[in-house]
Amino acid sequence: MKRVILPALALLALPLTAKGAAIAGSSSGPSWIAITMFVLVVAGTLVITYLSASSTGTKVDFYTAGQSISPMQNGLAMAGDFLSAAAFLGITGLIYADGYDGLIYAFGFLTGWPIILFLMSERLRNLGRFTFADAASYPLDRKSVRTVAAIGSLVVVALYLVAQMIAAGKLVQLLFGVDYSVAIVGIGMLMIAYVTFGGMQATTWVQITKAALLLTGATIMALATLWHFGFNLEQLLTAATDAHPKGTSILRPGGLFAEPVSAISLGLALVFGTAGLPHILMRFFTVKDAADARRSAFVATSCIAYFCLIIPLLGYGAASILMGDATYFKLDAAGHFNRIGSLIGGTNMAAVQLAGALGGPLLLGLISAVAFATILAVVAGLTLAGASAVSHDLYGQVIAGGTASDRREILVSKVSATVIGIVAVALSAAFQNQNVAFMAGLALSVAASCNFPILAMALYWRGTTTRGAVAGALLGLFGSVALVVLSKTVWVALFHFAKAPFPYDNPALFSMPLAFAGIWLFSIMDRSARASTERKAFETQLIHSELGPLTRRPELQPSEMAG
Amino acid sequence: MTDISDIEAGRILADPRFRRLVAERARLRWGLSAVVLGMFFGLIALMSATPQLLGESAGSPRMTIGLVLVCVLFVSVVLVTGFYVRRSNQGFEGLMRSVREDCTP
Repeated sequence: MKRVILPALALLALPLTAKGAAIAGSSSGPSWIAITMFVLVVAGTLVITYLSASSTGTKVDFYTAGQSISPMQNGLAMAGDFLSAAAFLGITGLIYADGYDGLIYAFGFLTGWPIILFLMSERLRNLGRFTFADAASYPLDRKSVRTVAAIGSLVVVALYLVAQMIAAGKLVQLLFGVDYSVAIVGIGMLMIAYVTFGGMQATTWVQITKAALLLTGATIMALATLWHFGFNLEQLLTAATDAHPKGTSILRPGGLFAEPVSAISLGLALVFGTAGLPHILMRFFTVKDAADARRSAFVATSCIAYFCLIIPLLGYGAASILMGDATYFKLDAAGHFNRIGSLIGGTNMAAVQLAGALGGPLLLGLISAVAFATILAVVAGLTLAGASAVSHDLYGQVIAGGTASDRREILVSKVSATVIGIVAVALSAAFQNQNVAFMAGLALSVAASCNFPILAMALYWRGTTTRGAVAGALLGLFGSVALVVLSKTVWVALFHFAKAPFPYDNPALFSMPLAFAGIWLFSIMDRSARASTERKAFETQLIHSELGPLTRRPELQPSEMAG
Repeated sequence: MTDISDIEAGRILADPRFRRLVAERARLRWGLSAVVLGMFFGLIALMSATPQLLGESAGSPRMTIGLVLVCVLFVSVVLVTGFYVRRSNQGFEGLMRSVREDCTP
């Protein structure tokens, strides 16, 4: 354990001391405050991992932290799992650049949470044990439905992970002046270490730490912004509209949601994609029962709503404070700069630049470390979800038919986590200079068009059959991938064709109904004997999904029931 | 798959308390889902229908109706989820436990 972690730490720390260019040390050499806080974050998470290493003996320990997480802790961990650097830096940047539309984006993500709570939390917790595929395949053929659900999970995890890693590599490069490839290798090693040594226990505590850091950091920045304007919102907004090239239009809806079809499609992907993210759904199994699952969703929703409320202060604050000061911008030969496009590090760095403007190197260092912790927690959660889809769903249930020992399944999980980490690092290196804007959007679309429909229909529609579930989920998966490939973000931006055949950026409005219709159609057409058994089994499933597990299920060991 | 017998399953399914639990939970679940989705997609509809309205001032000149509305909606989402959790964990848990106690072998 120590033998692996110490070199990892050294590897991350060395390049920092070697050269500290970029933002965190832009004016006066390397910022020791930023580097100290960064090392503290890394060291803190490694201590957590070390302390969690003893509690990964059984599957229940490894996948669900022994179901011992309290609702408060789990809610914070969910918020930590969900609020990515894209949410913190990206939405602040969006509000900085476009104003009001950034808030609608945040509202879309937030709206996913009550949907998770109402439709998923309770039945998922009652029917499943480790992954959402448990619940999706509950009344149906375990192997085929589970395989499709696991593939859906892995596609989402892979896209999301690579998108996050590329952003993370560039962020760390900007913040600390570390080389991109060193940054992604370092992040990859850390996430593999958390998951393989500490399982869900370590991942959870990394996420809780990150959520606490992020919410505290954002609160400090919001208070500092308000203090700067004498706690007068009107003054803050006036300064923002005075400084912003778009003027008062940043206070009202702009172009992002102007066209109804695109707006609804993006909205569906934001809301139902959130409700189909495997790493979020997995967190409902870490608490003891459905009541605690609901409580944790409430805590998570509250944290995310609070975050949504303070993020406009940062976005508008960044516009008002940074835009008037040329030192935050790249100047052209004539000394001019574009108040949106020329921000050093791009608009995604608005929050970080604002931290420096408000609180000097100390706050800048703190927020840089927060941004880094944010990345670590999200990639760790994704890696664990991907590893579980391979080890529990594909290996444990499909290949070994539920007969694999805990030891063996956990070993497969650790190997999978390592492989997923290495592949993610390799892909992040390969796609470094590609336009990968489509990846995060595609991840959400696949989650909304494959994972969400299969789970929702299996949980709520008594007519669902295996054939319908498999066909519909595959239609949603391939439909969303195909439409994204035919859309502008891939067809034009990546393949350099002149015009995209699919005119919208987001496929969810089309691929989601396709999946639901597929499940419905192939289910009602299914006249097999298995289908009629499955329809009858819905009644028993209903009992379990409403009342929780009534009796010990055969595969449960008595010791596992204690959790 | 499970080890409750068909007879037992039939008894639970016929239990009026169980039927009430299922019906009331479904009403709460789908009703509140409609409320929350209505809030989000309603705002999107409002944005494409009357974008000017959301840009009008609400009280002070810079504080637009759109800004106030979206912040009110953020808070409403928390209130709606809080209501659901309260109702489920206090209202339905008791009903659920009474059905469970009668049927756990």
